[in-house]
Amino acid sequence: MNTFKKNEKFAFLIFGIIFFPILFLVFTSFFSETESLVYVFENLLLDYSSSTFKLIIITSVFSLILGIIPAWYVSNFRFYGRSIIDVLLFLPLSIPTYIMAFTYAEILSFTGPLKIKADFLQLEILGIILSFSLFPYIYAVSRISFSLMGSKFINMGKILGLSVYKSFFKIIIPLSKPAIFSGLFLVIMEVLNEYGAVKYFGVNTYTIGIFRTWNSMNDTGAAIQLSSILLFIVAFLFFIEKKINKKKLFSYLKNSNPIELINSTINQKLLIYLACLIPIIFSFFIPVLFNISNVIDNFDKIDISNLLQLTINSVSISLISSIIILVVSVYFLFNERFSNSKIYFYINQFISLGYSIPGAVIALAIIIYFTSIDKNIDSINLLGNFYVYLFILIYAYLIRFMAVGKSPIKSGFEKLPKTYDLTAESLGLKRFKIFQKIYLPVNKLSFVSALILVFIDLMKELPIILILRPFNFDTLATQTYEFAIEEMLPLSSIYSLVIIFVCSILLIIFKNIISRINVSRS
Amino acid sequence: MKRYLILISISIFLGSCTKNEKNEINIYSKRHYEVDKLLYKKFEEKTGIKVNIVKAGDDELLERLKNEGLNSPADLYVTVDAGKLQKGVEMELFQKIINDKIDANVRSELKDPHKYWIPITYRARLIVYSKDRVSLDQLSTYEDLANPKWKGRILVRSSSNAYNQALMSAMYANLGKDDVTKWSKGLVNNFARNPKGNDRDQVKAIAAGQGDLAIVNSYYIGLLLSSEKLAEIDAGNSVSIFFPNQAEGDRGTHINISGYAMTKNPPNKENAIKLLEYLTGEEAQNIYVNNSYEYPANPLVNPSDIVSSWGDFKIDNLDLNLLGSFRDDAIKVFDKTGWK
Amino acid sequence: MFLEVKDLIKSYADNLPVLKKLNFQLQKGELLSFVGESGAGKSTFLKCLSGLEKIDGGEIILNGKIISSHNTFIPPQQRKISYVFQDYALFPHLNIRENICFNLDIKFNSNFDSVVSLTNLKSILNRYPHEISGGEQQRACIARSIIREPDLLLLDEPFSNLDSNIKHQVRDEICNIVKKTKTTTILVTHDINDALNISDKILVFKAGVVQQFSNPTTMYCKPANCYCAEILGDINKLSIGKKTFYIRPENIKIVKHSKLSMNAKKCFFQGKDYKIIGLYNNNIWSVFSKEPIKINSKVCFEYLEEDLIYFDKGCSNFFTE
Repeated sequence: MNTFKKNEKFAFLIFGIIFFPILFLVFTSFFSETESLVYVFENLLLDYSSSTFKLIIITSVFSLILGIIPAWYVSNFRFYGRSIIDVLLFLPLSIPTYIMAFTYAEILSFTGPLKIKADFLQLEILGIILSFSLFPYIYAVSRISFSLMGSKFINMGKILGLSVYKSFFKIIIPLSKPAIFSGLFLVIMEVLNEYGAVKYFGVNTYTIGIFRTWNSMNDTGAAIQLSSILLFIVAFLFFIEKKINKKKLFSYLKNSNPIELINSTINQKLLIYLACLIPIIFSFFIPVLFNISNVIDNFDKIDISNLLQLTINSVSISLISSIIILVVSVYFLFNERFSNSKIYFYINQFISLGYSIPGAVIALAIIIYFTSIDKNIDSINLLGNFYVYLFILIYAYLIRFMAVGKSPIKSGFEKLPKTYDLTAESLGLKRFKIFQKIYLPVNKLSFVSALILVFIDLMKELPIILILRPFNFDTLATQTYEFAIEEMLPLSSIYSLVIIFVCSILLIIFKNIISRINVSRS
Repeated sequence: MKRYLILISISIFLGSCTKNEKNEINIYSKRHYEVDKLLYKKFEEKTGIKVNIVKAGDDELLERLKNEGLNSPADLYVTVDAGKLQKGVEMELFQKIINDKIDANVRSELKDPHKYWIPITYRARLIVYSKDRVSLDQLSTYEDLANPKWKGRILVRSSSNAYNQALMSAMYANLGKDDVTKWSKGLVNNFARNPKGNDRDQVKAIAAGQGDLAIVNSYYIGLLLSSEKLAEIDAGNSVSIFFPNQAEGDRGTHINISGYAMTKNPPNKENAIKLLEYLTGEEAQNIYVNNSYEYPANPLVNPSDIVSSWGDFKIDNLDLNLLGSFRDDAIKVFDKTGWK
Repeated sequence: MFLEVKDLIKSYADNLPVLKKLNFQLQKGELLSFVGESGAGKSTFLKCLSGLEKIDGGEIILNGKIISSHNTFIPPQQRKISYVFQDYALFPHLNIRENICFNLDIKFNSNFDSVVSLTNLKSILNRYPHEISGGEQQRACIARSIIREPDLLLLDEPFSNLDSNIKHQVRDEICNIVKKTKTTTILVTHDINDALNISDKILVFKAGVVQQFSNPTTMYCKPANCYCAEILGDINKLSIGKKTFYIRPENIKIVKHSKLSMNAKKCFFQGKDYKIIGLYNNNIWSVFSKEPIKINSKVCFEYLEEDLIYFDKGCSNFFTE
C-alpha cells in the first residue's frame, strides 16, 4: 500500500510540473494591472467576440457539411473507389490551416489563375477555407460512429416507416451527436488557435487580440488576462463537451452487426461522388496541385540543402517530442488503470484540456514562467542554451499535445479486460512487468497510431514553435510561414509540400493501422 | 533523488558554459528575407565568423531579450521598424554603438540621434494609384487622403501591421492628437473595404478594380514588378507611384528603416561591430538594393533600377524614435476611429 | 389465406441459395414459430418478409397484396409489417414513450393507452432504454410494433437475450399480447421448446427448405423426419426386424421386471426425475426414472407399440429439396 501512495505522489509531482506554467499564467493574471484590459473591453472586445463567434459558426457549419455527408455515404453505400475515397477524405488533415489559407489566398487573388476581381478576403471565405482543412476531424468521428452503429437502427427506421433521408436526421445524427460534438470541439479549438490565416484575412479573433495587446500595445499584463479569459471560455466549452458525452447511452457500441453496404442507384452514385469528391478536390487536390505548380515554376530557386536541413529539423523535433509525449501519456493512463485513487482520473481530464489551450497562450505562459525562474537564478544562463530551448519547446508541446496521444492509447487500454490486470497481479507481476509483458505487446498498434497522430500535429504546429524555437532552428512550418508573410508564397510551396507529403504518408499508415485494429477486434 | 539532483546540476553546468566568447555572432532577427541569409553567408566566408539567428516577431524578441536580461546570448537585434528599436531602447535592452567607420557609411538623416541603433536600409510608405482611374494632379499629401473625394476608393492593410502603426505614429507626431484623429476618421470613411491582406494584396485589389489608391511600402512594389509571374507584373504596372508631401516647404514622405541594435551585454561584441561595418559597406548595400528593393542607408549606393526609375524624393526628417514613442497613442487612434 | 409465401428463393451473391423454394400459408391471427439452427437463414427470411432484402424468386402475398415477387417490391416503409429485432433496437437517445411513438401515424395515437397497459409499461415510459431490464425492453419493442396495428409482426429470437428464469414469463406475455390484439405473428427461434406451447403452427427449417409445417401436436407426435423429431427432444432408436423405429424417452416406462432391459451408463438428476443414459442394442438411449439408478445396473422397461414412430427413409437425413 505504501508503494502505491508513493507512486501517486510522484505522478502528481510530474503532472504539477507539466501544467504549472498554465496555472502560473492564470495566477499572474490576478495581479496584473487592469487598465489596458479595460481599454480592450471598451474598444475591441465586441469586435473580437463577434468575429470569433462568426468564424467559429461558419467553419463549424461547413466542416459538418463536408464531413458528415461523405461519412454517411462511405459508411453505407457500395460504390466504385469507396476505399480510396475513404482514405482521401482523411488526407486534408495533412495540410495545416495556414497553408490552406495562404494557398487559397493566392489562388483566389486577382493575379492568381482565376483572376477573381471580387474581394475574396472575407471572413466567410476564410471560414470555408478553414473548414477545408478541419472537416476531416468531423469526417473521422462520424465515420467511426456510423460504422459502429451498424445497420440495426437504419433497418429499424425503415420498418417504422422512415425514408433513408429521414432516418438520417431522426436517428443517425442524434445517435452520433456525442461523437460529432467531440470532433466539432476539435474544430472550434483549431479556429481559436489559428493565428497566421486570421491575421492575413483581417479577421480579429481572440488570438489576434492576445497578440495585439501583448505586442503592439506592449502590455503583457492585458495579454495574460485576455489569455486567462480565453482559457476560461475554452474550459467552459470543454466541460460542456464532457457533459454531453457523459450521456453516452450507447449500447450500440457493442454487439451490433456490421453495417451492410447498400448498392447505390445511378442517381445516388451521382450524389455520392459529388458529396465525396467536392471536399477531396477542394481541400486536397487543388492546394496540392497549386503548390506543385508553384514548385515547378520556381524550381531553380529551391535551396536543396536548406530543404533537407529543415526536413531533418522538423522530423527530428517532432519525433523526439512525440516519443516523450507518448511516454508521459502512457505513464498517466497506465497508472489510472491500476490505481484506485481518483487522482489519475483528474490528471487525465486535465491533460485533455491541454489541447484546447491555444498555442500562443501556452507559449506566453512558458516564457513568463521560465524567465521568472531564470531571473531568480541570476548567475547561470539557462535561456542561452540550445538544449534548454529545445527542452522548453518540448515542454510546451507536452502541455498541448498529450491530449492527442492520449485518446488512441486510452481506447487501446479499454479493449483490454480488467481481468487481465487482476490475473497478472495475482501471478505476482510487478506493474512495470505487467506493462512490459502485457500492455506493450497488446497495444503496440495503439501506441504507434498515437505516435503518428502526435507527430502529424507537431509537424504542422506553428504558433508555439514560432515563439519558442532555439537559435538557428527553423522547421518546415516556420519557413513556410515566413515566406508567406513576406509575400513570397511561391517560394514556400516546396516546404508546404514536404509537410503535406510526410503527413499524408503517415495518415495513410495510420488509417491502415486503424483498420487492422478493427479487423483483429472482430 | 540524488540522481535527479546530479542530472539537474549537469544541465545547469552545460547551460552556463555557453557564455564563453566564440567565433560567432548571435542575432535576434525580425528580418528574415533571403537577402539577409545571403549576406550572412558572405560575411561568414569572408571572416570565418559564424552567424547564428533566432527568427521571430519583433515584439516577441524584445520580450525575450528583456526576460533574458544580462544573460542573453544575443549580440544584435535587427528589425524593420525604428519604432521597435526605440521600444527596445526604452526597455533598456541596448547600448550605444559608437564607431566611426559605421557612422561614415550611413546617411545622416537616417541616423539615431542617440546612437542606439544603426540603420541599414529604408523604405517609403507611399501611395500607389490606378493609372486609369486617378490622375496625378488629384494627389498631394497623406492628409489629403481623408478628403471625401476619395470615398470608397482607398485600400490599406490592417492596423495590426507595424508599417501602418509607424505611419500613424509619424502622423501623430506631425499633426498632434486632434488633427490625427480627424484625419484617421476621414481616411477610414474613405476605405474601399475593411483593412486586410498584405501590401501586395492592396495593389492587386487596385488592379482588380476594388479600389483606386492604396498606401503601401515601396519595396513591395519593387518585388511585385520583379515577380516571376506575368500576372503580378501586370498588376504592378497597372498602378503608378506617388510620393506624398513633396511640395515646396512640405515635410516629405514617411519612411522607416531596418536597423540593428546591440544588446547590453553582448558575448561577441567585436564580431558584431565587424558585421555592422560589413552590412553598411558598399558591397553589402548593393546586394540589399538589388534583392529586396529597399533604399540603401549608404549614400554612395544607388537603389535598384526599378526603384530608381520612380525618381528621388524628399524624406520626412522626423526623428524616427518618435515612431516608437507615439506607438501606443497611434494604436488608440486606430481603435477609436475604427481602423481594424 | 392472409399470408402466402410461394416458392420463395433468396440467395446472396456467389453462394448457394439460403432459401430454396419456401412455401407456407398463415391465417389471420395465427402465431407461427419458425424454427431453425443459428445461421440457417432465419433472419434472411424475416428480412425478405419485411422488405429489408429483395427476393430472387417466388412471391410473398400479404393481406391479398403481392408485396414481393420477381417484378414487385414494396419498400419496407409501406408494408405494414412490424419487426422486433433480436437486440431490440430501441433508440438509445429516446425514452420509452418516444420510442413507442417514434414516427407514429396520428391515426394510431388512440392505441397508446391500451398498448401501454397491455404491455405493462406505464411506470417506465419516461426512462431510457439502458435504464430498464431486458424483459422491459422486449415489451417496449413489442409495444412500438403493435401500436401501429401491423398486418404481420415479426419477432426475431425474442427470448435469446433473456435470462432463463424470466423467459417463460416473457413468452406468456408475448403470446397474450399477440392473441389479444389478434396480430398475425411469425416468431423465429432456434429452440423449438421455447415456442411449442404458444404457437398455432410450427415450421421447421433447415438447409433452405421446410422440413415440416404443421401444428405443434402433429409436430411432436408425427415428425416428418428424424431431424424434426430430434429437435423436439431426445429420441431413441430401435430396430424391430428389418425396420427402424423411434420412440420418445417419456413414452418408455421403467418397470421392475420386463424382458426388455438395458445397461445404465449415466444417471443425472434433473429436478423432477432422473435421466438415465444407457446402451440398448448398441444404440444410446435415454429414459426417465423417478428413482436414481446405479451405474452399470440393469434397467427394465416397456413401451406401447402405438408410441413407436416410423420413418420410411430412416432418420439419418433431413429434406434437402
